[in-house]
Amino acid sequence: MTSAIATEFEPVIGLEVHAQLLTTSKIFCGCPTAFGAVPNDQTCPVCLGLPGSLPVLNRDAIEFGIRLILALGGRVNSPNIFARKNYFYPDLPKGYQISQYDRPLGEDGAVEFEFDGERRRVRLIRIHLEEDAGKSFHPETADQDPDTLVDLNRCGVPLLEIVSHPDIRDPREAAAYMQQLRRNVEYLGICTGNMEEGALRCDANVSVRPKGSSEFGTRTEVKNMNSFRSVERAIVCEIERQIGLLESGDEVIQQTLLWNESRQTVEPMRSKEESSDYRYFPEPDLLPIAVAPDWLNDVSEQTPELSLERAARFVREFGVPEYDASVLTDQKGIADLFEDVAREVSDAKLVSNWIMTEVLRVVTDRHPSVETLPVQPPALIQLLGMVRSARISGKIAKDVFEIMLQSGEAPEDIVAKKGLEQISDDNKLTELVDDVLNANPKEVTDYRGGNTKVLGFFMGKLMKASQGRGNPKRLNEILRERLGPPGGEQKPE
Amino acid sequence: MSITHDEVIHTATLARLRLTDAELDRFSRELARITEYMDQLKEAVEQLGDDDVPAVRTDSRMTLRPDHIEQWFDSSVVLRAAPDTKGHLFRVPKVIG
Repeated sequence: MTSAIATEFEPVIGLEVHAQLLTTSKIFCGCPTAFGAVPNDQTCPVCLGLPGSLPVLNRDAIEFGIRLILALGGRVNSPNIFARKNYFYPDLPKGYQISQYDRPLGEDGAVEFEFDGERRRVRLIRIHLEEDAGKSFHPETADQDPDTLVDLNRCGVPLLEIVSHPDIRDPREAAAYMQQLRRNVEYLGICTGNMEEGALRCDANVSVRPKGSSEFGTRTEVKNMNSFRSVERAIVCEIERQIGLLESGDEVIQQTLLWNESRQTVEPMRSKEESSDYRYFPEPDLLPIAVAPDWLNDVSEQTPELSLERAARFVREFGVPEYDASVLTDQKGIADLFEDVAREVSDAKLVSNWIMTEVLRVVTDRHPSVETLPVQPPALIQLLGMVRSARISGKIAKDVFEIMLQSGEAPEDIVAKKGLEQISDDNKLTELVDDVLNANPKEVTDYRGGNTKVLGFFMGKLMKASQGRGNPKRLNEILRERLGPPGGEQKPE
Repeated sequence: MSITHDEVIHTATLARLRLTDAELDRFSRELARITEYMDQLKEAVEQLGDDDVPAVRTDSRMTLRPDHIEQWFDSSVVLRAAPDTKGHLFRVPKVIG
C-alpha cells in the first residue's frame, strides 16, 4: 500500500479459520485421520456416504472444541445442533457436509495477542464443528488425465471453524492473529497448527471504507492462503485491488477470490459453488448435543496455561527479558524445553540464549519441531551445567551440541572422550601465555607501546594453542598480568 | 403450493443436473406434491399443538463414540465398487474450469 492510499482508506478484515483437530479417528466414524496414507485407504461406508450408514459422533472432537471455546472465554451452547450444508462436489460424496448452523458449539470469546508492542483483542462470533471434505486433483496441463481424481481419506476429519468479527484493520495484524491462534491450538493440544500441511486454514473477509466512516464497504472473501506470510500478502493484494476499483470510480462486487501463491495475485474463483444456497437444515441422523455442566467443569479445570500467560510467567519466575519470553513461548515444545532446563541449570539467561540461538537454529533448519530433535532436556541440562561450572567453554559447548545432534551421545561422554574439558589450571594457562608472548615479540612491544588492540591477537593465538579449551576469562587475566600495563616498563619474565 | 419452473431449474443447477422440458414439467408437479404433503403435516402439528410432537426427542441422550480407530476395509474393496478409478483414486468427470 502506498502511504497516500493508506491514509484515505481503512481496511476491515475478519477471518474464518479452519483447524484440523488432532483426534486419532474421524468425527463420525472410526477411520484413522493420519496424514499421508494410500489414497482412499482410510474410508468406510460412513465417510464415503454410502446409503444406510449412520454417523456416530466422536466425543473428543466435541471436547477439543470445548477446550478452545473455554480457553478463549467463549460460551458453550447446550444443546448445540448439527446441520446439513448441501452442495454438489465430487470430494463430498454425501452431497452435504455435516456442519453446524443455528446453534454452533460455541459463541463469543476473543483471541488476544501482541501486535506492534500492544495487546490486541479480536472478538469471535462463533466456533463450530464440521467434517472436512476429500481432496480433488484437477488436470493442470493438457497432457494430464482430463478427468478429476478424488481421494476421500480426508472426508470426515474433524474441523473446528473459528469465525472472528471484522475487528482487524491491518494485514499484518491478521497474520499476528493467525499466529496467536496457532499457538493457542498447539498449547491446547487440539491441532498441530501447521498451515503448510493444511492443519490450519484461513479465509479472509476483506472490505475497505473511507477513513472515519462507520459503515462497511462491500466485502470479498479470499481463500487459499497456505502460510502466515501468504495471509498477510493476499490481504494486502486484495485491499489494493479494492482501493484501485474505488479510486477509478468502479464498485467492489461481492465475490470469492483465490490467492495465487506463485503469481502473488488474487483471482476470481472458478465456478465451484458460486451459489451460496446451501439449504441448511438440522441433521436428522444426529441428536442435539447436550453438554453436561460436569463436562464443562472438567475441561475448564484442565485448561492449560497459554502462551501469553506463560511468557509473563517466564519473565516473573526466571527473570528473562520480555523479548526472550515471547520467542521461547512461540512453540510449546520450546517453552517446555526451556522450563525443564532452566529449572536445573539455574542460569535462565544462559539457557534462554542457548535455546534462542543454538536450539532454534537447529529446529528451524533441520528439524520441523522440537519433538523430533534428538536432544532431550537431560542432555541439555548436562551440557549447560558444564558451561555454567566452567568445565567447558561456550564455544566448545557448541561443538559438543553438534556432536550430540549427530550421534545422540551424552555430553559428559563426548567431553571425556575428546578431551574437551576447559583448562582452568593457572600453571598450564601461564605456560601457554608465556609461549605465545615469547613467540610474538613484535606484538608485545606494540602493546607496551600503547597498542592495546593486540590483546585480541594474543587471545586468538591462545585459543588456537589451547584448541579452544583455555578458560578465556583466566587467560585474559593472566595475559594482562604478564604483559603489564600498556605503555608501561615492565618486562616479561 | 406450486413450484415454478425457475425454482426447479435453480435446484437442478445446484445439483449439477440438466433437465429436459418434459422433466421440468414432471419435477415441478412432483415437488409441488411433496411440499403440499409437508403443508399437511404442518396442519397436523398445529392441531396437536407444538409440544406434543417434537421433531427430535429432546430427553434422549446421544451416544458418543470414544476416539478409537476402527478400520473397515482396505481401499481395494471401496475402489472395486466405484464406476471408474485410476490407481487408488476415484475418477470422475471434470467439474470445473
